[in-house]
Amino acid sequence: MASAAANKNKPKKVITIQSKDDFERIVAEAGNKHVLVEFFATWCGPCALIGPRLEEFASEYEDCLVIVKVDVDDHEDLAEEYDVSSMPSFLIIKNKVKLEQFVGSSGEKVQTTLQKFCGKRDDINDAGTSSKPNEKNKIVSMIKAVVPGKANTVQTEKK
Amino acid sequence: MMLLKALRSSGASRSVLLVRFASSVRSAGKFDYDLVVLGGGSAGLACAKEAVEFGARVLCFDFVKPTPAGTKWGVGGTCVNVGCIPKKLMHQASLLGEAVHEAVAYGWNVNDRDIKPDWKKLIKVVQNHIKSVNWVTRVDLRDKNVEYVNSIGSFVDPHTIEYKEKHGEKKQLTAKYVVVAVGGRPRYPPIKGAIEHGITSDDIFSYEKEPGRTLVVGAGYVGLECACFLKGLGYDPTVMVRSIVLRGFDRQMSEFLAAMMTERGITFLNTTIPKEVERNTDGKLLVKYHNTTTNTDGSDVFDTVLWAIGRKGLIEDLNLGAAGVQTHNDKIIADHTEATSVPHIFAVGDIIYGRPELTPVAILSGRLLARRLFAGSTQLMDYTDVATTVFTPLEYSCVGMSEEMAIERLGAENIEVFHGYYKPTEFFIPQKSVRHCYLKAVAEVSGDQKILGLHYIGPVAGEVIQGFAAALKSGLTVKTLLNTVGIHPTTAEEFTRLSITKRSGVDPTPASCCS
Repeated sequence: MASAAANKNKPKKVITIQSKDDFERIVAEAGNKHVLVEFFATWCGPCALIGPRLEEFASEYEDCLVIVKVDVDDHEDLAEEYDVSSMPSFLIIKNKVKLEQFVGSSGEKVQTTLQKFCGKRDDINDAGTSSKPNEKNKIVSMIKAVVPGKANTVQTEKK
Repeated sequence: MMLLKALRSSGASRSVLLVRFASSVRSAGKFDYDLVVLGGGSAGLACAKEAVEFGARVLCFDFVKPTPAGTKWGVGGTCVNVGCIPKKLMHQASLLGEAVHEAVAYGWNVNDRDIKPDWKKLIKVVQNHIKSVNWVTRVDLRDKNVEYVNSIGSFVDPHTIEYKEKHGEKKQLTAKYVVVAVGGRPRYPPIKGAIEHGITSDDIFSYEKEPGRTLVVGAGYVGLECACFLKGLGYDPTVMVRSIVLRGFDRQMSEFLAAMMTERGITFLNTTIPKEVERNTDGKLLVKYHNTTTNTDGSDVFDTVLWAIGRKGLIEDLNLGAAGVQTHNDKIIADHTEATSVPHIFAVGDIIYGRPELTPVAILSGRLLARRLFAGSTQLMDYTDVATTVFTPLEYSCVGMSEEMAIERLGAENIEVFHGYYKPTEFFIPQKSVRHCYLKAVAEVSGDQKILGLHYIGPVAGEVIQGFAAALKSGLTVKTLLNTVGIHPTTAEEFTRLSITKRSGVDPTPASCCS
């Protein structure tokens, strides 16, 4: 239903689940990867809008993430289990635990959430490789935030 | 523990909660449910959802048997799926087609030549909306803790309902109260080819092929509305009328509406009944019919035949005999408290014999019944002065008595009818016909002249009459009406300007808009 025109010949990465067992199996087999679940409906306009972007995200965040779609009309039990009332609804599940749930077809919101769990992908410098100085600065700034009074001391030590 | 959750969320005070909980536990001990509702339509859902507010343990059955053509739909009943909602959307679609032409007159640079609707797209968006309503209905039932079973419930005895699960397993449950709200479905005429070749309003709103040249058999509001939106969408409808249009409605207004439709190019086959439908080799439908006035036979070829000859109540699958519930024809007899012949079994909505078959009537009566059963209320449903609208392109809306009913009940000498034609401001520029823009007020002749009925043909008739329905219920008089300052320029204000009586014989056509 949702296909990125540019990736027509590529195999679809977003999985539309066939049954509750199917869903549970995918969640179990995801291992350390996050699972982004989209609850959608065939008659839901906003769902159709976000659909193509999900395929893009599935490629972009492949190392960190599996994306699945659940048709609420076909799988009312799952929709009820996750208290889904409007679509599209998104869940982030990791190791069978639901980490987040939100509603809305904003591509930005989905992206921000994925970045939160998987790290940023759009800045090439930051992607994949962890350059140590950047990491150190990150940690330093985190410590600064947590213990503002001791910031100078910490920085001196790090230097 | 769903019951506790329902009780807590109902917002009742603590002591009331305890009393209700106690009484529910008592009945829950004896019966599986406090209330079982048969039918998840306008009446059933309103009753079920209201009952849980007062702590009742409620289960609602809903099931749709597919039409002969194979059409089926989700929870929500006739209104949501194959009635009011899709009807209004199709009506709107056809009005928008008209508006494109009017836009040209107002200076819009649109090419309005040969504009055609994309029927398939229209059906898709209408169905998408309906499905979203089905969904919201399901979620609402879930949130309100109404148990929902997608199956037909039938009586085993007055307190026991039997049903089949998805995989065919038969189950039973018991209920303290049962509300039958199964509604109705369109009738098919008992003639050759009716079921195999004809469709009904159950099918038209999801019809996968373009209707083309359509024969609408039936001149009640369903038939007229269908013919009108088909005409507005560019198809060629013919309406076959057995005797009169809009039986039960004010005669004069009904004839005006038919005249309006004729002016718009809809063909009427008056005093004609269908005899047979068969499919030609080219796939089109040959309809043979008989004119009962001229006593002649005729036939014609159509792409689609739509039966709109009335609706039958769905008592057949309920096994009402096992409960002892009395029926009249295919409807259930209910008294002014919606009770059937069995004291704890009630009937609400279209299934009741002799009440208006309208969603708002079903909803309000369902809610009031729930309040009487579970909240100690004594308020009964008032079935009088119910406003209604026929959604033809110039709509007809009315509340209260028709002119002939007023004459019959009070005598012609005791009533006064004020009337007038009017010209909506917006119609001048595109030169839309105002020939049938007409309204009247039927009132008592003496005193402040209590208004008995209001009738209006024109744009957005339902919007115009709604407020007046409340006024009429409050005892609106001609004196008050004529002393109400109108909002200008509107069509509704014409009610405040009514001054010419039928009795005076004065020409009710206005010269200009403001004098």
